Amino acid sequence: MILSGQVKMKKNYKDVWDALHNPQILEKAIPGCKSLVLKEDGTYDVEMKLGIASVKGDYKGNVKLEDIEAPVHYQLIAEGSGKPGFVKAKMDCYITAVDEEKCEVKWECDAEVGGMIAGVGSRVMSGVAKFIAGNFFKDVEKQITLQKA
Amino acid sequence: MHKYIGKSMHRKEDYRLLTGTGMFVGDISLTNMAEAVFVRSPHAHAKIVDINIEAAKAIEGVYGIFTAKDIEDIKPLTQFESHCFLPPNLVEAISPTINFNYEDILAKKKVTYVGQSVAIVVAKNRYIAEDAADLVEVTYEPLQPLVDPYEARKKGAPLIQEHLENNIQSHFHVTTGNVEQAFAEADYIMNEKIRTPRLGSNPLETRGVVAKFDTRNQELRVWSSSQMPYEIRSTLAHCLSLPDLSIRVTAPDVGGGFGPKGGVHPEEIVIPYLAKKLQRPIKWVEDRMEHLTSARQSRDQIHDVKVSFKQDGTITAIKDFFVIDSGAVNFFALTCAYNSAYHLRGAYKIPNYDSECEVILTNKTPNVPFRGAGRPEVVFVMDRIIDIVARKLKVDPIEIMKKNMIQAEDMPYDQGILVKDGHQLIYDSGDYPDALRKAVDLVDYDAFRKEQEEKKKEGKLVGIGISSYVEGTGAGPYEGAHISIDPSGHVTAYLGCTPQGQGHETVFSQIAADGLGVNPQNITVRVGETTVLPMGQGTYASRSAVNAGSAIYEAALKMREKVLKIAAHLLKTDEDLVIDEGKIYAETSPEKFVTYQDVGRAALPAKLGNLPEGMEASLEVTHYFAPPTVTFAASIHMAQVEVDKETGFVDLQKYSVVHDCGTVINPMIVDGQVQGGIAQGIGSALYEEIVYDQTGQLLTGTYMDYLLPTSMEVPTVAKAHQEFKSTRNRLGIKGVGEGGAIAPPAAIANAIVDALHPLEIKTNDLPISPNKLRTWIKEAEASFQALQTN
Repeated sequence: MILSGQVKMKKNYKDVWDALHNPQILEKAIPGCKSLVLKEDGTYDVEMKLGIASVKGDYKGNVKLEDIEAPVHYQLIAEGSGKPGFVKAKMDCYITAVDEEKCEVKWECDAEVGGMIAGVGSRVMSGVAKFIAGNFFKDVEKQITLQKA
Repeated sequence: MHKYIGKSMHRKEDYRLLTGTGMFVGDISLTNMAEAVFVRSPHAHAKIVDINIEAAKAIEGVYGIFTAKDIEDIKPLTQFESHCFLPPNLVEAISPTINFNYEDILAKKKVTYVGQSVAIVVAKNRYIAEDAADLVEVTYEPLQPLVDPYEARKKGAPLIQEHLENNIQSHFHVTTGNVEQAFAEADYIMNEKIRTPRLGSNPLETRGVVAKFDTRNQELRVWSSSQMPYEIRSTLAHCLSLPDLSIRVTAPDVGGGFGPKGGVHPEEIVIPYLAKKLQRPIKWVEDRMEHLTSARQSRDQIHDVKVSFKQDGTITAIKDFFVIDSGAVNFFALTCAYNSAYHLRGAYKIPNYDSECEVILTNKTPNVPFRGAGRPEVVFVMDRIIDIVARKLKVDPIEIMKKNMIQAEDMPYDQGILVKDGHQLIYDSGDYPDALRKAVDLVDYDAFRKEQEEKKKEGKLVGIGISSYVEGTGAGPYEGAHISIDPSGHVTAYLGCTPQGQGHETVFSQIAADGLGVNPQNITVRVGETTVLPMGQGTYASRSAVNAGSAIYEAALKMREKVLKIAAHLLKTDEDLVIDEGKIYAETSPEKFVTYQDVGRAALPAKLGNLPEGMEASLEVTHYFAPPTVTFAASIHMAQVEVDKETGFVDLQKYSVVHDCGTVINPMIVDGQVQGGIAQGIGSALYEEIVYDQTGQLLTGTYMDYLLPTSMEVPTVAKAHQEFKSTRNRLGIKGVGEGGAIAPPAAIANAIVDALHPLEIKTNDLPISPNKLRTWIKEAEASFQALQTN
C-alpha cells in the first residue's frame, strides 16, 4: 500500500536533515522506540512498542537509511515483525527549505504489511501511519530545539 | 396418519439454550486443564527458516511449546476419504484427476497461507499462553504468493504443494448430448463470465476443542465444536495410529457449523495428541479473528459459460468451464465441484450440457463445502443465464423459465448424467411449474409489474428477480439409529448425526413417537457422541432428516413389532393391537391395556421379565438406513428490491419463497431453516466477500470489513409450501437445511437488473456492493449515451 504525508517544520532544513540521521534524536522521537542501535554496516536495529489498536504490540526489526541527495532526499528501508504481523517499507523523504527557519518534509512510503496488521489494520493503516509520522516529526522538532538550547 | 410428524412442536433444545444452561466447548472445564494458543503464519507463502522458542519457554506457567519437529509422529491431514470416494461408473463417465494433497498439522518447511499454524503453546491459562505465543520468534523467507487461480494454474507457476507437477489439484469433465451441434444450430450464442467470491460461514460459536487422556480406560476423550464427531474419531485414529474405539469424541451443543465445521481441522488433531503427551487436559477456543483467518472458507468459483438459445426462448446448450480456487489444500476432492456440475441445470431441460472443472491451489485458507456446497454458485450461473436470455429476447424472465422448465408429467426426470454417488441423475418428484405459479401468486407478480411501471415514472427503481433450484438432498452413504426402552417405559433414541442447532432432539422424537405410538415427551434423543452408536456420519448436505429420520423411523417400526408381541403376550390376546400415547390395546377393548412401562418390565431378562417363549430379553433395536441415492428438493425464490441509482445501495424490500422438501416433519423448524438460509444467501448476494490482497494477505479480518447481514437487512420471508414426497424413503422426506442459502444471489442479482432496466447492466459478479453497482451503472450510462449520440 502507498502511504504519504507532509509536515511543515519550523527548523532549518539542514538541522532537520541532521536530526533525521542522528540516532539519539531518532530514538527519542520514534513513537514507542525502545532501542535504536546503529550497527557497523550502517543499519539500525530497532525495537518498538506500538499501542495503537490493531497494530498494538512489540516489534523488532532493522532500518537502513540511504542518502540519495544530501541534504534534501533520503530513502528509508525498514523491516520489522511482531505478534501482530510484519511490515516492510520503503520510504522516500524529501526535505524542502521554505526559508532559513522553515522547511517542509514530504514522505512517500510503499509499505507491505502482513498478518493481523493486514487483516485487521489495513483500513486504518493510512490513519495510523499519519498519526505516527505526525508525532515523530513533532518530536524531532522538539529534540532539535532541546539540542540547540 | 401421522400424529406428531407435521406438527410445529416446540423445540426440546430451546429451554437450555435460551436460559444459558446449554453446554458448549467453551463451557467445559476439567481439573488441571491447560489452555493452548497457536502461533500462526503472517505470510501467505514462505519458507520457515527458524523458530526460536527460548524466550517464550522461559515464562512461568508455560507447559510446553511445540513445533512441527516435536510432533513428527503425527500423520498429516489428507483428503477426507469418506467424502471423496467416486464409484467406478462415475470415474468412467467423468475421467477425474484428483491429486494427493495434504496439510501438516503444524507447518513444517513452509507455510502456504496466512493463518496456518506454525507452533502451539500450552500453558497454565490462556493469558500466559497468549503472552508466550507473542514471544515465539519465527524467521521466514518469503516465497512468491499465488492469489489468482488463473495465475496459479499456469505452467511454471511456483508450486504450493511441492510434490505436485502443477497447482491444478483436481479436474473432471462431464458431458451429455452434443453441445457443439446445438451451438451450430442455434439462433443465438452468448458467452458470460459469472463469479461467486470466497465466503466464510461465520457460525455464532467459533471452533473449539477440549481433550483429555483417560489413563484408567486408556481412552482419548475429545470435545469439539464439530459437525462430524465420527470423522474426527477416524481421522484422529489415522493420524495418531490409534484404534478407532480408543477415541471418544463428543460434539456438545454446537452453535452453528454450516459446513466448515464438517471436516477435521489440524487443531482437532494436535490438541488431543498433546493432551495425551502431556497427560493433562487441554482446551483451545478459537477467537474471532483466528476464525476469520484460519477456519476454512468456501465458494470461490468462476464460470465461463457459452449458451445457445432459440428465438422462442428455448435454451439448447450450455458449455461451462469453471475453476474453484481451493486455497492451499483441497480436502474434499470433487464434493463442491461435482455438486456444481450436476446441479447447474436445476429445474430446466437443457439436453446438451458440457461441464469441465479445475480445482486450483492458491495461497489462501483451504476451501471446503459451506451451506449449498457448490449449488449457490451454479444456481447463480443458471438463473443469470435465464435473465440474460430473457432480456436479449425482450420477454419476461418468467416466460423463459416456463419455456425451459421440466414439467410435472416428466417426473421422474432423467438429466442424462450421474450423481456423485454413481446413481443416474433422476429427479424423483416435484412440480416446478406449479411452484412458479404459486410464487407468482404469492408476490402478485402482475400487480407488481403494473405498480413497477408507476414507481419507475416517479423515479423509484424497483425490480423483481427470480431464481429456482433443484437440490439433491439426503446424500448417503448411511445414518443409523438405536432405540432403547427401559423398564420405566421411557424411550431413548441414539443417533449418529450430530446437530449444530437444527433441532434434532425435537424432530427425531416426533418421528420416533409416530413410529412407536408414544408421546415425544417420553422420548429422549441422544446425539453428538461417538459412543451412542458404533458408526455415524454427521449433519451436513441437507441429509439428517432424510437419513437419520429414516433410520429412526425404521428402528421404531422394528421396535414396535417387538413391543406389540410382548403386549399381546401380556394381554393374552391374538387380536390386532393398536398403540396410542403409550397405551397398547385391542381396538375392541380399549379399557384393557398395557403400557410401555409394562412392556419394558416384561422385557427384563430371565425370571425378572415376562416374555413370550423364545423371545430375547431387552428392548434394543438398531437400524442403519442407506438411501438408494439423493432425493430432490426444489424451490422458487423471488426478491423485490429498490435500487438507489446515485449511491448503488440496494434495499431488499420483500423476499418470497415456495419450496418443496417432501414430508415436513416440523413446519416451524423448516420455516426457520428457510429463513436462516436466506439470511446467508442475502449476505452472499449483497455483502460478503473474503478479500486477499495481491500478496495473499487477508484484508477482511474483522466484521468491519467482512460484512454480514443483520436483522435490519433480512426481511421476514413470505413462504408457501409444496409437499411432493420423496420416493426414496418411507416417510417421503427431502432435505431443507441448505436450500435457503442457494437461490438468493441469483434472485437478488436479477431483481437489481430488473430495477435498473432499461439501463442494461449485468450483475455477474458477487457481492453486488454499492461501489461495484455504481461502477456498472456508470458504465451502462456511458454506453447508453454513446448509443444516443451515434
